[in-house]
Amino acid sequence: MRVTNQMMSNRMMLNLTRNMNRMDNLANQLASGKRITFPSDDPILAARALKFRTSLRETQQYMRNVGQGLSWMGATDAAFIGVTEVVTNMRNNFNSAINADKQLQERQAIINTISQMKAQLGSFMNTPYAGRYVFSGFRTNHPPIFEVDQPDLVFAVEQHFRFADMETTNVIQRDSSNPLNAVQLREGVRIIKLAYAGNIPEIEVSLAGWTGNLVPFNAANAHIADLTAYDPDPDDIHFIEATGELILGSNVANLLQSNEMNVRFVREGFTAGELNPKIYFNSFDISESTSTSADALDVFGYTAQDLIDYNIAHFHNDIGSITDQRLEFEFSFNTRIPINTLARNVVTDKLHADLRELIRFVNSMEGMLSNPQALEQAIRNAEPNWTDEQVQAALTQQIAAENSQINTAMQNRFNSMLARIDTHYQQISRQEADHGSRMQRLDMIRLRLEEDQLNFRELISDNEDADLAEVATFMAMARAAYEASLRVGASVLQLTLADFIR
Amino acid sequence: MRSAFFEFNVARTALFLARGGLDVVNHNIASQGPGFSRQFIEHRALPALNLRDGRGMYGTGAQIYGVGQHRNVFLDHKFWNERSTLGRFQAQAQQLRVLEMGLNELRGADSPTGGVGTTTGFGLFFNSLQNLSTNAGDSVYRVNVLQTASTLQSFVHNMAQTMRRQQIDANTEVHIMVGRINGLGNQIASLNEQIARTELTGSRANDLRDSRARLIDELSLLVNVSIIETERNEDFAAGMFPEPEQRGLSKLHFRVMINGQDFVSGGNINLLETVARPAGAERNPTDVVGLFDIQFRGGRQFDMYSPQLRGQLRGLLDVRDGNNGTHISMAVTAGDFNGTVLTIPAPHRDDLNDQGRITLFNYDDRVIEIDYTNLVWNPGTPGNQPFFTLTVDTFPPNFDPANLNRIEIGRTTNFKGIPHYMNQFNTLVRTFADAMNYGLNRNGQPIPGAVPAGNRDVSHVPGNVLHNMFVLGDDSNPNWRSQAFLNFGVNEILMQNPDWLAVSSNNNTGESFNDVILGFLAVNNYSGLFAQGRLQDFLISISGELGVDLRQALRFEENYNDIVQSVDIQRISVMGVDTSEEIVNMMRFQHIYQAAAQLINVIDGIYDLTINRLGNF
Repeated sequence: MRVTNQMMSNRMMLNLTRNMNRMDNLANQLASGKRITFPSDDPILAARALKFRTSLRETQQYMRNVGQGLSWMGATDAAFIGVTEVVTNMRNNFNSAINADKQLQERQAIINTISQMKAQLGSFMNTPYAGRYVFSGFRTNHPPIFEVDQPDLVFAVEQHFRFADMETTNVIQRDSSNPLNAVQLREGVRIIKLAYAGNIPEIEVSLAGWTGNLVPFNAANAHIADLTAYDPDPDDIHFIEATGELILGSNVANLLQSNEMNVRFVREGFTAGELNPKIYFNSFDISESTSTSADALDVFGYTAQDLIDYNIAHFHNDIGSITDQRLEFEFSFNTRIPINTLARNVVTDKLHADLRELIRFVNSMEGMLSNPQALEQAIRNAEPNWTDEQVQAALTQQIAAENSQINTAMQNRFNSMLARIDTHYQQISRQEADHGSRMQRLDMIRLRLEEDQLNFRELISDNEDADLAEVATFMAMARAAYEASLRVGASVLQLTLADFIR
Repeated sequence: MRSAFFEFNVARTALFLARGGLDVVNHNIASQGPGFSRQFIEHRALPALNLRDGRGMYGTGAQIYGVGQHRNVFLDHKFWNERSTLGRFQAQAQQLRVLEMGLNELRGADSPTGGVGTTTGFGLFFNSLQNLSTNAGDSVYRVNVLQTASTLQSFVHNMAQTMRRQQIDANTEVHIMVGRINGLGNQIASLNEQIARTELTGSRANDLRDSRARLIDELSLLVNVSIIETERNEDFAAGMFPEPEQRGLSKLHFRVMINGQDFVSGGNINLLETVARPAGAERNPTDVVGLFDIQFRGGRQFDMYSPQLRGQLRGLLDVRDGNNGTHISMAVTAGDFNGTVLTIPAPHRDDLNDQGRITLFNYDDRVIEIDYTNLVWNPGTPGNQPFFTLTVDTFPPNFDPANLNRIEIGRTTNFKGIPHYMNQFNTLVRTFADAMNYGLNRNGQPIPGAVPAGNRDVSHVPGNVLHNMFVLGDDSNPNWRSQAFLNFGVNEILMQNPDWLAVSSNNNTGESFNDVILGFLAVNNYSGLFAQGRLQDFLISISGELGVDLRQALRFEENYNDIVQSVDIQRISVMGVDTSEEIVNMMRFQHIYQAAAQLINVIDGIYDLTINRLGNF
């Protein structure tokens, strides 16, 4: 075949260009450290690279979420430790209070301690994390236990009670009309304690199969002075406003064994240390209500539009529902875990009410005792003939009897409380276990995400990073080829016949 | 009987032949280069003198009767053919590369949060939503969400503008290219005239033919050409004039066809022109207004969308108009048409402009293209298919609407060009916005895990209005569907009032209630959001298919470059000048001249002797 200079120079340029292209590509890889710059360099690799990068970005975000979740749960953890310690202490105190030798004053001292502990429980429930209350479910801007008095708030509240919530115990009342037998011990009183004591102007009770009456005792000292207050007919329920107690008749108590009791009431004004109904109960804020209904408890039947029209806020807390107020974060692809625990499942309203009542009861015992002078006077009045000695003897006997009654009552109460605190403790333990297992699960997720992050980084690097050693070797080879082609081209292109003709 | 000074004449022919040969060698050496075919002298012996006494014939020397050129027409045709395929992939690669740089997905993504592409934009947006889900009551995080959404808006707009600009640029290039084609055609036509005139005298116009071939080389890169040179003198073609002196009788006619249509014929040319499409006549709803159609001046159609078209023009048109076949072509019956309103059932795309051109086909293959207006999209009632209606203008008299068979709106170009990617981005923003705003997927069904718009609590917003996070342009613009990606944006009202963003389905449940936000995140995880999978999968598929197409174009470009080069080398093998060869020729002619000159000396001596010294006593 005929070969001309032009052909040779064309071929040389072609090969030179190819070599330069190759060197350019390799130089780019070396400089950037990456095998590709544009997806078109290797589309499959590019698609994989984008996918890995996306996964890595998501994994890192999930780790941030896990960090948030663990911090939140850490705060909850500390609160749990505090709560279990306090409740154990309480139990020990109750144990020592049962001791028959204890005097009233000693028991009152114990009750003071219990009162402090109750306040401590409240502050544990109000544990904050980054300005939000961790035990408040979604309403993280409201504390579960009021920290300041709220005299203007009016709420309609709903509570549920079961047979286990009922306490059968003794009460002490004082019959002032009968000074010689003033202290009345009543045994076997069936009591259900509402969450609040006092300031409850309206109340209604519903229990399947109950056909009796709800008898209200609204006098401020009904629980002390009204002897019928704690003695209901078998079918009746007595409501003692000052203490927030419902006293059940025997038949009602039987009905309660198979059904749940539903109580709705209105509470006006709240003080510090009381439960926040927004967090604890299914409740309605009727402080600003413009409803003209005569019965405030009609609010439970209002539609959503009614609530808007009458300026009433509904705080829905579906007790017992698994999904209610579960604060969930996303920690992985379609993996959501609730990170919170609810106050009403830890320091339950039943525990709170039990403690409140016990404290009130013991503190009120001092007022039950008769004044010795007055008693002496009453004895003399009743028996004007008796000698001083007889009077003294009767006085001593009376005082001893009174003390004995009060002692019995208080022992009984403490005993009952001991059993009840155990039940409450079990509830707290269950919650703590649930929280602990979730926290553990989150920790495992964190470990896995850390590993995933490492894996993805490695995958990304494997995928797109240029192996510098390999590329440098290729580069050396390409340079050698380039040099060789230049040299050969130069020597061949220059020669023509003219060089050899003299 | 020989004439006096017979030898001088013979020697003289040698001198002239050698001089002629040297001239040609001179010319070859001086003109060598690309496109020059080497020339050679055609010489023959002069008629010999016949001594009729049987002793033989005396030669009378030689003469040059022509200058020829070495050229292989077959190789030329092959070269032009391959070059136009090269041109097509060259232009495709160049344009797609610009598009890929606009997408810029891989740039700067060494740190996973540091990229500049849309995958990064969406990733950051959903990250900010995750942060908001863990701090639902904090308005700082809402502001962050809206800010990342705004960045997303910038990404999309940037992409939209880049694509539009590139479509406009490609359009301008088409115009320029048509101008160049016309220019080349004009030059070829004038050369044809010159060559015809010159060759009337019988001489070959070698250098003019070389110039013409060079022009066709350039033209073949722009558009596919076929060259037909026919002999119009039938007698000459039959071989009735074999003598070189009769060459002038040949009537060669040179014809250039581009894409199978007549372009240059002898000295005449059918020039091309570009005509801007009027508004409403776009091939694709996303097209820029005023893209050029190409036709011959005088209105004759140029098959710009023929599959046979090649060259850089084809590459440009591929990228400018390529919509991957997504036009509407539906069978309809006369029953769908009632007077002026046509109902088109169950179409597979819903983003057509509200007015434009529609092509109607009759059973008897009559086709008309008329304008339509007032296209209304109707999503249909549950259980019934969606459909749309449009109004067509008055029919020309020869079209019978009773025979209506098929309609077409928009036309296919089977390449994934700019309209295809605009369409993809349209689909992206519309599906994304609908999913975020309403919790519905592209079939209008609820997305699992997302909270539907009707369930989001807006009681904290004045007027209880649900403000959507993303807007696609409003219904006052009837073409909002097809221009969604141009108008995609974050709702201005929410940017100014971030607290009005609805994040829960019940505000009374608490400030940390985050179900609507978790619903937004479910949109990101929803693997049925697009046919390709999740949102990220769709984005990756866009840059993936662009990468694959570009890779293929680059590979073909390289391939055809090699083919073109090797054919060129074969051409040069035939027509190229080799310096050494010319020097050999030069030496040969030099020796001929020297020998002839020497011979004249000898004969001169003989004559001198004969004339001057013979008989001198």
